[in-house]
Amino acid sequence: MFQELSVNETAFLKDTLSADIDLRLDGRNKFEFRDIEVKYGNSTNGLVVLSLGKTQVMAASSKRIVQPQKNKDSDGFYRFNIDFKHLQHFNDNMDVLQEARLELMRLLDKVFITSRAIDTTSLCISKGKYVWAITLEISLINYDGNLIDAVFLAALQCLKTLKLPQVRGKEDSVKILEDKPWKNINVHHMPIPITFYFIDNENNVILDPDLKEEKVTTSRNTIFINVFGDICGIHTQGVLSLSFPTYQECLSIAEKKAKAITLIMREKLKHSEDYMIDNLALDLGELAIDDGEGDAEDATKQKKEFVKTIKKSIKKDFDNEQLDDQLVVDALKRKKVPKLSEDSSKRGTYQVKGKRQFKAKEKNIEDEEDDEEEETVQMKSEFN
Amino acid sequence: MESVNMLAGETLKKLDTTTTKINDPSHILNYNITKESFEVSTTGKVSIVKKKQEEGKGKKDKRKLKEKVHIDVFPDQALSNYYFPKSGDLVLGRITNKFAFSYEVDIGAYSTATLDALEFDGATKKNKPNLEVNSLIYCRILSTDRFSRPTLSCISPIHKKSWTSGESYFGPIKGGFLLECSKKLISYLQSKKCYLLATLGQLFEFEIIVGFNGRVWVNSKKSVQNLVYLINCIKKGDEYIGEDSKVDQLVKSVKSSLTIS
Repeated sequence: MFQELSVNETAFLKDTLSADIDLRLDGRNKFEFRDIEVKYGNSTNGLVVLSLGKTQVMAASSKRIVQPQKNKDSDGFYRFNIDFKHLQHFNDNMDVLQEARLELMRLLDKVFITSRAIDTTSLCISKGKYVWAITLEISLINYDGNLIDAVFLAALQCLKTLKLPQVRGKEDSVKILEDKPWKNINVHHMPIPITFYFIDNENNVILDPDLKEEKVTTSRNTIFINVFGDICGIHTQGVLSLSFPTYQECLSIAEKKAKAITLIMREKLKHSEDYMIDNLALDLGELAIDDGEGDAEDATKQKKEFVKTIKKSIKKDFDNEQLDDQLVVDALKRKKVPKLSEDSSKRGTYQVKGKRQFKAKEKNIEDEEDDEEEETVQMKSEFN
Repeated sequence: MESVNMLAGETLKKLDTTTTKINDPSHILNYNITKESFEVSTTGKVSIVKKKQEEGKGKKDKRKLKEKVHIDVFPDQALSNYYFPKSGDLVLGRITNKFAFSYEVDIGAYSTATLDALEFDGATKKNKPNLEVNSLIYCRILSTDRFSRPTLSCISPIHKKSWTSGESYFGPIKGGFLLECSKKLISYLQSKKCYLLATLGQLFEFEIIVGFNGRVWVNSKKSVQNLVYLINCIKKGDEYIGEDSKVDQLVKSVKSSLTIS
């Protein structure tokens, strides 16, 4: 990814991508996207593997119940985390990667929350006490140009397939209703990114370039547009002298592309059952990098043995449907978390000593006997 | 400090002393770790701190007795598409740095290679070529060890033509486009009876250079569209090796997809 192009390649690409000759190696137009393919995994985590041509991105999520901030009693938490560990082997300088990583993380916060595609108020369980906290974890599998579009589309697919259990909040505890089905998150609209890459001039424009085409470009501009024509955000990088009529054409092109892409995304969501991942390890092995294997037989043997070790570790978590629904409850029961009343007394400003502690312990023994029938959950607060 | 070089999948044995610390930031070691031997699964670097039996009981003796061992792990040759240089290979390289008496060239291997400035046909101190950064070079590997930096040269013992005339066999290259291919494709393109190149040669003229390090250079001077057509055929030819009948279908299908006359 970080290697430079030779002089021959830059001269060839600049000649073919200029306005006089409109040629691309794949045979596409200037304003044509590559094929989008999606594969789905568990709906509890919203696992999604999206491929824009050869760039592949995986998105998953994790959730927990938490105390909200003091100023905002009814607001939940959304966090975005990105992994670039695949690129770590090819580059020793991590400063360049961290800048790109922070740029994308801030973009995700900006676009999804300020444009009101996601509501933090819908994550509230009981005001001032309990609130959902969701973190999206996005990881790169292969990089072949046009990172921003792939990351956002994967995040959108993940948010639409995420499911939360139905929950009832009481004074001191939260009860999970197991009989009722899980519900999706409220995603009001889908902001879709469309990036325009420029080559030294405002007349040379490209959409969705390859790895080599992207290195020839000098500046880029992304527009986040809705199906309804609302602009959700604009993001630029580089220096360029733009005139307004060319930018008007870019906006009109972006509207058309956004409508076409939302149709594709909606079709994939409808037929999500046809694109399930049966064996996670095998699918990741197929979707991964283009390192072609040799004709040696040892390679297949080693691959099968490696896959077996992964299958054993996965079957425990993903095959049993009962465990999937009780993820939150069982994880906490193993830890044997104490009740909230004890924690608040220990962590607070005042410290209780002496007889009061013994009295509190005696109370818990009595209460535990009654609470074994009901399945309640008590949490710690880490976001304070 | 000791330094050891080993390949992926090997096991290090005969550790005379017990190990105390293992710095493994990139998770190279397998789970089968004992005090005497351990396995290595992928490439990377590992460092180990040994602990000898103490003879003296003072604090100064403890500091001296600790020794470090650095281990570099390299990938196995057959399993991956990675290039391992050998002496005598013909290679396409790209210049990354320029020094007073040598160049640094990127081959696509575990390390970059060096090219002396006088390794050209008929070159002297006052009469030597001046190459630019990021330019392509066709050259030959003089010598490599298993894990050392390879050296290159552009002198051909067969073709005796100086670099001033543009007819030297090795040297810098102008124009065209670069491709990166797998090992299968390269061995197919280097064979004597390559049906793909023969059918394409009947349609139009072109030049081609195949390097052992996975890089292929292609050029056709008359038109750019033929070049694009050529590149697509070679990229997709990976699937049709050994089946001549399908090559004809490939050539027609690429023509129709690109809408070229």
